[in-house]
Amino acid sequence: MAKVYNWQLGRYMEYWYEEVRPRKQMAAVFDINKCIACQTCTMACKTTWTSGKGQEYMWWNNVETRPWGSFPMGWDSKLLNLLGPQEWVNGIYAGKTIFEAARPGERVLGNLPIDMDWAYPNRGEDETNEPIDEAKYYFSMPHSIWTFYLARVCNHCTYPACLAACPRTSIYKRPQDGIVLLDQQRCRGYRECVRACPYKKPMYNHETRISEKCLFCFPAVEQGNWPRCMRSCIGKIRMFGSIHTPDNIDPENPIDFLVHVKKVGLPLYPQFGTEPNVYYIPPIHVPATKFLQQMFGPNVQKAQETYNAMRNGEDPELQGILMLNVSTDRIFSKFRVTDKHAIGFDDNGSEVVRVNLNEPKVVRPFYDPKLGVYRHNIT
Amino acid sequence: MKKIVLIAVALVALVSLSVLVYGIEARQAADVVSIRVSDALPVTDPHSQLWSKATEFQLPMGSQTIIAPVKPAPSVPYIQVRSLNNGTHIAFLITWADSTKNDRTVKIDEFRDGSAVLLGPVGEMAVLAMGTATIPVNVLHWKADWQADIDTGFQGVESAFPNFWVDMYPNVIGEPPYTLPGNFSDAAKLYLPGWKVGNSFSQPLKVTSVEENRARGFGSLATEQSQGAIGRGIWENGQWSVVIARQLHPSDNEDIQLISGEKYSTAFAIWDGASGDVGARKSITALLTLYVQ
Repeated sequence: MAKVYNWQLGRYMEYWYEEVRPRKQMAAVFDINKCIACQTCTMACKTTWTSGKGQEYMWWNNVETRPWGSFPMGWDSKLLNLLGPQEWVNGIYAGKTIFEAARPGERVLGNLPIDMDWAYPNRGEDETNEPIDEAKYYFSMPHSIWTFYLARVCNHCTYPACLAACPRTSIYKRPQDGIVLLDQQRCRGYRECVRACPYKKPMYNHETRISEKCLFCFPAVEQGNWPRCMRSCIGKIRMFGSIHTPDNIDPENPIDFLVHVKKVGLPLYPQFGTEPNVYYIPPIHVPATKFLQQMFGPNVQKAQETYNAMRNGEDPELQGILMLNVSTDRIFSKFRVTDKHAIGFDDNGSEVVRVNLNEPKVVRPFYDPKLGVYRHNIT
Repeated sequence: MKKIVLIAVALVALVSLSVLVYGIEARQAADVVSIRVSDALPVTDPHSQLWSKATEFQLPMGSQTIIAPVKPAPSVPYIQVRSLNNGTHIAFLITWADSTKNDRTVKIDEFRDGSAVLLGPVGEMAVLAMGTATIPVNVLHWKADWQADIDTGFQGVESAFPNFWVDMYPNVIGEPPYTLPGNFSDAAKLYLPGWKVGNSFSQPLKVTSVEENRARGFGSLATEQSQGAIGRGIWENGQWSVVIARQLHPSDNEDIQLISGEKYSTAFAIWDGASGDVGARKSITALLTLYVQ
């Protein structure tokens, strides 16, 4: 095992290969507060990549309801049980990663879900953490009874467990964009990647008897476009672009700004140690208890405070970048916020997209004398 | 770093193996002898009377602990191996006890039974490390699910999920249930990428149950461009009997030439699907010598 630096853990950790970061790492930030679980992303991915025979059960993009939903069933709770209780001390992970906790003779601590585990993608949908009682739980923030939606794709990790586990090096991480791909010619269907990936995003094809995984829509990314699941998001929860390491931050870069500057974008289960590259803005209506901290690390409460300040009008720059979510199909690498607009620019400094910081508010009268009609539920 | 670790692991393994092999060499001329006959070889008949002409060798099986992921304990304690050749072909009959027949790999947690013969130059300790860049080895790999595909037809989704139904697939031809390969046009193949790119595991029409591979070290195993091996496996009464055969002198330059009167390195591997055996998770023999009569 080599020693590699994982900035999400704040320390060095063991990994099967030496640290070789890509020249550019594509990443995403999902604002959980905006997700309505409409599954448009899910279907965009499904119709693009997994409509073939043998792929029926595959959802490379899925949206699960927390706390009860999961696809495959119990993907995280099973691994958390295997890993056992672990701790963060002063922002540094003091526990073991799935690489460090690997059993003798294994490369990664993992488990292989069975078919029935993949059979309930909507399990727990819209179920709250506790039964809803008479109390008006929604009158105060955060809510004592809650639920939230977790949209998931492959995290295209800096230290992918799938890549480490594949004894055939069928999985590789592209140096030009950090996208993790599975070679369909080299794979022999061992399912070591399915067993090892903590997020369970490599999936075994029933018909071709080899494994497949989310591609981050690399053909679109190569042309400067967002992946299909990202650009089809009607809730506009997603931001897509490149990310830098904390020692090389570009504050004008949208992802760097959300993850490193404002620190509202948090990794999903950073303690697993893969340094995932999809980040989540935690739900502000959910108490920052151990459930959220276990899922997003020790900085949950701070992220919620920052987000709430933005909602109170104290952070127009953060508001601006979130207004740019899913505002264009084109990848933009820099942004700027003015009094009225949030603007995205490409690598050449050309304007790609411009949105209003505040959408104009129009209130129409209940009765329109010109047309002689009453308007119901229309603004 | 990875390379250094691999080399170190291989060296440790080779040193220990050399001690083992030296002991075997001192005891007998060869661990497995391929008997020369003049008949046509029973390349698809594990029950042929001709096998009685071959000497049976009982080979102890060990764990695979050289490289991760390991198999800490063997699935079977030993196997029986016989070999015949007739001047043009060589055939191995491998038999072993297996209480469960695992010949389907459709479900996510289904793994196949299998057996393999490794062939390489004699005296090269690197052979058990699946060869090196300069010492390639050949691996003849029989797979129970490929055998089932040949014996009973391709096993698709519906073989594991009998109540499965689908309205359509992109660019598919005909009516449900859509089966491979007949209902799938070239355009429909695009949605089965393993099949489309020619992965041997993903081909619905299997012409042989034995895959010929070449390896140049751990993790480098690759399907050979030219496939010429044949064989057949039969599971009866809790026992697999598998024939694996190939030409002694194949015309393609990826295969080691097997010459009468010469010795070669060999090893055998067994996969027990019920135990989750796959890839490096396998039971293996020690590095042995094969004498081709």
